Amino acid sequence: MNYFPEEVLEHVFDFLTSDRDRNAVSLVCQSWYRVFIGNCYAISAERLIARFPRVRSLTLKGKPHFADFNLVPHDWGGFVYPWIETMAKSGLNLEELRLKRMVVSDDSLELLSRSFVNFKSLVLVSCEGFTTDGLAAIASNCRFLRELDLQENEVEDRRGQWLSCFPDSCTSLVSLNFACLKGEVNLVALERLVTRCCNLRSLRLNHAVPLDTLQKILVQAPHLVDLGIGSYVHDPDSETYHKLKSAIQKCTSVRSLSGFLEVAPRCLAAIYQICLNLTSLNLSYAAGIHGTELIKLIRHCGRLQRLWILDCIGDKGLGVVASTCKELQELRVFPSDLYGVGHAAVTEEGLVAISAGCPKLNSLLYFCHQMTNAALITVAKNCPNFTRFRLCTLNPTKPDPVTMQPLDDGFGAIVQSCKGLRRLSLTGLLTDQVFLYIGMYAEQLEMLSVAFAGDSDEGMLYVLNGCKKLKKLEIRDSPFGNVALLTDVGKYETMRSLWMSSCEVTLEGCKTVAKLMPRLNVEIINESEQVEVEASPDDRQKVEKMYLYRTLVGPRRDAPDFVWTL
Amino acid sequence: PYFIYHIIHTIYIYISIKHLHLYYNLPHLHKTYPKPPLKKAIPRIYSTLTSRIVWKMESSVAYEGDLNLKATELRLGLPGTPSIVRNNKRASPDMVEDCGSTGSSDNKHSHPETAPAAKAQVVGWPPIRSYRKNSFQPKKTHEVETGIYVKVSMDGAPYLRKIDLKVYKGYSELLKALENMFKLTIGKNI
Repeated sequence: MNYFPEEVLEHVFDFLTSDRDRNAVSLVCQSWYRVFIGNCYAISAERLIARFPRVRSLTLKGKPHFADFNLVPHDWGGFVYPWIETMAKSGLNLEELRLKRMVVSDDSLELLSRSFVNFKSLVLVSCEGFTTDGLAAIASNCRFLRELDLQENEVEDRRGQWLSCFPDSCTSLVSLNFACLKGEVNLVALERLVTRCCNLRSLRLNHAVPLDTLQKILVQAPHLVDLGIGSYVHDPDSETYHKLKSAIQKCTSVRSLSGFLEVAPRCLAAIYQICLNLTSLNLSYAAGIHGTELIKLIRHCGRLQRLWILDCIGDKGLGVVASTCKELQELRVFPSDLYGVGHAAVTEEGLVAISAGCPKLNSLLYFCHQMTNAALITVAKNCPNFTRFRLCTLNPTKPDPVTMQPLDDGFGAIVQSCKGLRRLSLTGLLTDQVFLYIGMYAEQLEMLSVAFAGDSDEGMLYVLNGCKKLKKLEIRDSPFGNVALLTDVGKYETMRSLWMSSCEVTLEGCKTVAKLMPRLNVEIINESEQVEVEASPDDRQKVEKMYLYRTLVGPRRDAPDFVWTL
Repeated sequence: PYFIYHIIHTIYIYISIKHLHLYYNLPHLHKTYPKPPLKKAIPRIYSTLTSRIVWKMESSVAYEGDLNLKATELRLGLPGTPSIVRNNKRASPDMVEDCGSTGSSDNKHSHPETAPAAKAQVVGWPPIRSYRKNSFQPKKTHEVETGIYVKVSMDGAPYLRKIDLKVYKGYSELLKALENMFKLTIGKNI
């Protein structure tokens, strides 16, 4: 195989879609260079390099998923520095680094920028721990940088001039996304950067970039495919606005639109032109676009495949989406009103309308006030192609308001109908019955999220017994205890991880798992100030948070005080 | 006799499971989605349930009370139990909700152990990324801007912490806060 050029090998391996097959091939193919590590504590950097000495692209995920919702304490772990340090020392030719839910320090970014001459692409999703100083290092030192993509990170703003740190010689940028940055940017430096990077295809601006800068940028970069608008506020009668309108008309390649972090709805008419060709629209941060303006906009988007939106669109608005966006594959509806009393939001009606109008729908994230079994059964019938189905009723134990029954049958219909379902999140009043359905029908299920559901250990057992392809199971506030945890401990080595918080498992149960399965790390996260680390806690005590995962490298050495690896 | 008792229980489970779905009053579900032969489900359930039966018998809990009623029981918890209170099987979280008439019916089947508590937000609910939650707090940031912010770094800590000096009424309070933040004790007690 050594005498095949890489492009040929790549083409052949592209046909391998199953992780297992790829895994097997990578054992014998030394030139394998793109590696995905779903849990950074499952393996060490040293072993990675030993197995894949020619790795060029690395994807790492750190904290468990529930860390997104503040269930994991701040300094739990997931530090990328040791990885970068080890890879730098071994002289690896790293070109791409994708990190999700990891702690990235400025030092890591500095080291990264200095250690890998050919470094091309940095993608950070939901990470934290760095400031704009770290970005400055990347900008200054990565001479061939093509992609800098920051998605929903908590970045501290140092009021530096990180954008100005891109040297005049940098013309290689293809993708730049800094929408999540809270601070000001040097607008002149931004314009100059866009002008000299003729290959720029994806640009997402933050709220500090005003409309007149946007207009100048669009004149320089009419070939953009993906645009994220920062501030979109201006007087629609002004010359600037008219210049913007004509600049937009020349941007015929834009297929993906997002942002509108600040918006004056009267200015929206200028973008209707782009909407005709859009396949992806993300207005989930555009709190300034409401009701009728929003619906007017959507009516222009006949080719949409992906839509992320706020629930202020309402059921009626979703009806418009259903009649307009016949190609829709992915829909995410986020709650807009998190702190006040609920106003116009979405219910099961909107979802039913979408399912009737958009039969190609395969991915859903839907926050709503209520859901009924009848609606879910209809949705299941209309859309059998779901691969990801995540439903969240804002009151997590709310029953079907029409029948006052649990939502077991509704979700049962979903798992029965959608044979390709890989990811599922449940809410609403749910008994063990729904887990029986999941165990019986959800044969392809890889990830399941459970909150405030179930009656007894049976529920969890149905899932563990039935879902043969289960990789990640995360459970909170549900009455599953030691019997469920201990009945089949071998199962956990076939999974990436299990999270259980505020359930009925006790310390004794967790200790038993740890004893029986040496290749699992069983971590107990105890933030309670009452329990002292030195005193030996009672084994019958219930465990607040347990996170267990398979690993080849034993207990991690960077665990903080409140994490106890059994 | 124990053996016979066991057999009867087994048959009882078999029948109960088969008819469990009927409690939910949606017969058309079975027309469009024919259930797989029960054989597929039974062996797994059987093995887990028998082990549980044994366990339960040892602790002398009536079995009928466990499986049958629990599976069909409508449990509507009271709102307002914060997740720290662990005496309830399922802590019923409360969300500020605008459900009109349906809101009152939630309180019909109250669990005897739960005391009606004041409305409290549950940690991590609704499940939205903190980045997104923070993005929708424009009013709060204005208050934040009037604080006196300093960054505190400690040797060995991975990154700096930002604190608002206005929040602390005196030096000792500030010290306590720093101690908590960096998990250490500073000097002698002041």
